[in-house]
Amino acid sequence: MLSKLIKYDWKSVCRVEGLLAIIMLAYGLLAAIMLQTPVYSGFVTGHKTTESMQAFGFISGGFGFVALWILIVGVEIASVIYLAVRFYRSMYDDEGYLTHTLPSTTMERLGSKLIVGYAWFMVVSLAVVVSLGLIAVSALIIGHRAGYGFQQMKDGILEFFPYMPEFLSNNKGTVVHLIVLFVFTALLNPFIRIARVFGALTIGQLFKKNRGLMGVVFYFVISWGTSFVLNVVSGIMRAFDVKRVYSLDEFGSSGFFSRMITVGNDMSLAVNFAVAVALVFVTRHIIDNKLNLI
Amino acid sequence: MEECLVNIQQLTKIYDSNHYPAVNELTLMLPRGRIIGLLGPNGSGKTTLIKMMNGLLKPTYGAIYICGFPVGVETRRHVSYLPDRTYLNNASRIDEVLEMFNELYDDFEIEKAYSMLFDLGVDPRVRLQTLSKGNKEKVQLILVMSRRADLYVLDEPIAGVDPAARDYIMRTILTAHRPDSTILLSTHLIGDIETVLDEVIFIRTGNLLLYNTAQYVRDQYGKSVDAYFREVFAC
Repeated sequence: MLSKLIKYDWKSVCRVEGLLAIIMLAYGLLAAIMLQTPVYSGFVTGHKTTESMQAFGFISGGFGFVALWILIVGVEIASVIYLAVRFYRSMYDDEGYLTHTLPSTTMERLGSKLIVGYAWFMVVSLAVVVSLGLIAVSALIIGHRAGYGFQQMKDGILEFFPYMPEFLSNNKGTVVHLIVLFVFTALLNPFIRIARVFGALTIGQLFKKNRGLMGVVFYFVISWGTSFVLNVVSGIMRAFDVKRVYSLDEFGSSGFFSRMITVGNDMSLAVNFAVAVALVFVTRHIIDNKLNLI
Repeated sequence: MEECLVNIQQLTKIYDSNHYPAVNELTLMLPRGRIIGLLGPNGSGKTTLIKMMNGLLKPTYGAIYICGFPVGVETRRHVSYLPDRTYLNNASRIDEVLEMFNELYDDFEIEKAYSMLFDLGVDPRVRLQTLSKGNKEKVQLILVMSRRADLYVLDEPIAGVDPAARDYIMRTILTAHRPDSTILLSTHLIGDIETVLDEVIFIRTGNLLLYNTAQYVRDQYGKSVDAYFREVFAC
């Protein structure tokens, strides 16, 4: 039954979510192609253009850069909002009369929506990454045409960050830790966000009126509440750590800074994931025991 | 002894402890092969009872057994439910919905559904949002009655539709009804359905007032079920 539910939940959101992913990819592709034109690439390759074209390239490039980041944020937010709206309609609006009378368990129905939500969130995020990748590749091609190879790019980065080789050499463990943390965050963050949205909307069903609005309110309560608790706890932990290492004359050591960077982020990911898992079970409990479709 | 299809024991639902129960210690045993009218005025507890039978609401006390199973995944395989609203995604095409029902319900008879749609003159390739309210209700009824369920629960199937549509709905219900299944039909428009009812349940403020055959009501009180209903529930 779960696979059938996933099939139809996928179908119910694929049109809009797919469109968001396509918009993102299309912008990246268009930007990558436009970068190759003399108006933009001329800044690097030295291709002669008129002053007015240079001005146009400079200004429109700036707008395009800003538009890119607005589009990235907009697409990510729109994706989550649409998934939330579809979840609400299919679970707690009129469509809920069909959803909750299907011959399936609550976890199958909920699991289907979580899986589909997670998958589409990843698809849209991947579209963002591919879009940025296309622009980056286009920029590399321009650099290559201008005679800049990888060695020159590496020298440029080192000129900008002169202490990077030493830092990387002295903090290999931290760097690896951060890379692993980044991968786990990329994999778990969509689940955390989707579970938080679904959980908040479900908690909103406990109210007699304005259930949708209360769901939105609880989303912010859960988000800010989790952040507040994490900041307080990690602040206390860091304060004790500072006090401890200061007395040991370790203050300023690379080990101390590594802990400052990794412990807080590890804890943040772990707590947010735990809260998301708890919200899934809270959602199931509310559906099984407190559901009252109006 | 008749087989008991639906066994309701001391069923109670209290939404708010400061108010009367929406359903109050209801005990009923419904047999197979009947068309049963669940009759009561607005706010009498009909929809609350129906929701509990379909697992959309958890009882405060009591239990419901359908085909011997407590309300849950198994009973949903045996119950075909028509709520009092449009519960389909309006953006879907009718044939997409038929395919979905065919996949999700083992007892769905898709050929029967297409046949009824053809009789209705509705193109299955159109989207639900292009249909009138009446036609949406009819499509939903077709979906529900195309299942080979043991129990059909229809919540206000003829409310809010024109008389011609009501006739179509009643004809569809009668045509699709099987001797081994039961139809529980909730309504307050009794005059339109009285002739098809085998048994009637009167419910008021969550309490069972009457459960007997429609013929018994006519014989005992010397008037139609509709007239007796108006007398019992007179304001």
